[in-house]
Amino acid sequence: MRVTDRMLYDRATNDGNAARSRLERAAGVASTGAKLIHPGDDPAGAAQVTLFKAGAARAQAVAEAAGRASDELAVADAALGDVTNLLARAREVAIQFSSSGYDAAARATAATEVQSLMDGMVAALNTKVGNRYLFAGTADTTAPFLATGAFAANGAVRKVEVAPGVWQDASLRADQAVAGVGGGVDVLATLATLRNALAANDQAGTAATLGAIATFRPAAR
Amino acid sequence: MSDLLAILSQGAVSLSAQRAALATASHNLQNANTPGYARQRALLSASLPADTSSGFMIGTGAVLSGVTQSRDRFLEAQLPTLLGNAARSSTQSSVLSSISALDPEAAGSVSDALDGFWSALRALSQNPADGGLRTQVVAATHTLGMAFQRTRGAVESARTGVDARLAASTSEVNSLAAQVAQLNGQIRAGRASGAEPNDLLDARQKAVDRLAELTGVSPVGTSEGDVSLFLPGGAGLVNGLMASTLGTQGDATNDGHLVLTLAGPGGTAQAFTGMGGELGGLLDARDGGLKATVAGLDQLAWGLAGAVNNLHRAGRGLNGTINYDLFTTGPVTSGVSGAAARLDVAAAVAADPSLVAAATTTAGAGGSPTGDGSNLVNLLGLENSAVSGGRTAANALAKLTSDLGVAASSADLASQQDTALRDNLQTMRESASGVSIDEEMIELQKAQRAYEAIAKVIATSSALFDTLLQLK
Repeated sequence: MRVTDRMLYDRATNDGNAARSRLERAAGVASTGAKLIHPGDDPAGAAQVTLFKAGAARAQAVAEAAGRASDELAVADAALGDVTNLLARAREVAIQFSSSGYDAAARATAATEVQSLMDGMVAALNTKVGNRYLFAGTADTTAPFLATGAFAANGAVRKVEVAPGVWQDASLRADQAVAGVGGGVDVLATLATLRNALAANDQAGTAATLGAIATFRPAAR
Repeated sequence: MSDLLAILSQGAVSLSAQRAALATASHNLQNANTPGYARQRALLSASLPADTSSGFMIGTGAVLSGVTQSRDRFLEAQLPTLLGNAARSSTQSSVLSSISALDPEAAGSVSDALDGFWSALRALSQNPADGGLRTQVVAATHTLGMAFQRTRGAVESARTGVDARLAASTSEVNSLAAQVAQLNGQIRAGRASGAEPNDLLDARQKAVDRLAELTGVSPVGTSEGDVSLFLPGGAGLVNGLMASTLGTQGDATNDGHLVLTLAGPGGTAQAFTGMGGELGGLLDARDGGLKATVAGLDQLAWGLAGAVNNLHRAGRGLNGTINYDLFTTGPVTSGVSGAAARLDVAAAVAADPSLVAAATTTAGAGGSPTGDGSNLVNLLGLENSAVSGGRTAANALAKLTSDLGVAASSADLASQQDTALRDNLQTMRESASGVSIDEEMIELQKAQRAYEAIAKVIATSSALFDTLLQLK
């Protein structure tokens, strides 16, 4: 083949440009740490990166949401723990004053204690996280339990996404758990009955509350 | 009869022939780096008729019988097509590769904004009454709208940039076409005078090559020695001594982008679609990959906004309000076209984040359901639902990215292949027609030595004359 000077120079120029192009590309990869810079570098890979990034962002958001829900459940659990402890004391009082060895004054004093146990229980069940009541369903700003023990909120349950597309209950239906809706024990009403029985020096009435107190099982625990 | 005077005059003619050979080699050397130049050769031949002396034929020296070019018509016939193909694919590749708006690792992309939007909804779903989280949803919605607008704007801006290049290139095409027509006439005139106008042929070839790069024209030689040029669609750009005029005009059916027009000599401009070369590559990119990307973004923005708004309108705001859109895609009468350029958070919701419809229930005996995030759960369900072309938003975005990548990658592969074919053919043409400095130096030496020898002949003849004149 006849080789001219210009062919040699053109070859050197073209090959040099190609080498510089590869160098620039390698420098870009090295400096950014990203092998896939433009979708044209690897179209299928670019689509995968987009989906992976979306998946990672979603997983992170789900994890954060689940973490927050878990924190709230921990608070709810602690509140229900308080309720359980208070109820245990109420049960002791009920057992103690179901016997015949106490007079009206002693039972009246016990009634006062039960009232304070009720107050503590209402306070525990009106626990707030931030600006919302944990056991109020979706009525965030409504105190779920009145001082009388009546349930004043709703029975809605909040949901949390625990895995992409998988939603799970993130709150407790307090009306079912402690207010007796759906066939359970209305704890506060039971305590009110106990308090009233003690105040009335009603030994049999006091003993009658024991069954309900004994069967109470807070759902979250 | 061969006498001393004849030898002297023959020497002068031969000197002239060698001088022509010297000048041709010099011309070659001076054009060693001139693009499109084909090396020339001075053709020397023995002058005829030979003298007769004592019954024998005696030669009468050398004459210049012509100056030819080294051209390989087989190679040159293929070159315009390859020049056009390479220019087309490399231009398309260059335009598509310049789009970074859908780069998968780029920060602030639509993909990131979409992730942020879902995350904001997810956070609000856990505490729907929180004013800060509502504001965050509004901000994320606005950010998503801006990301769509920015991305579409970047791609649309590239399409507008292509228009600017089209307009500039048509001027060059028209100038070159007129030049070829003019050179056709000059070459005709040159040949009519009996000489081959080599340098005019080079100039015409160079103009034809550039036109092939710009438009993909195919040259067709005529019996008059002209070169007529035909565009890939079959329309004539140059016909003998007449050149058509390429122009541009806005196309209302293509968002006002430019369409090419062609006007024959003295004719009116007609819209024209058959184009190759750089112009064809620009149009391929603008109305192919880039247009599809813009349409895909519009479709996704339209589909996502529609699906979100449908659910949002059915949901309730913090105060129980209903029938509010979360997104706006412009006036009610506007359609899917341009939706990505208009996508934003609805003005009412932007002004009052309490209108974000998180709930599905209303206030009742159980208090105001400010903590009801059930509509947000419904909205988050859209993350897994088809909102655009039967795909989820993330999948639609991934497909857009992939489609642009495929277009750019295909153009790049075609460009590499076409460029390799073009370079190979250009190398072969250079091998056939290019100037070798070594060869030309040898030609120079040959001409110089011959010139010296002929000069010696003249000197010898002159000395013989002197001898003759001194005879007494």
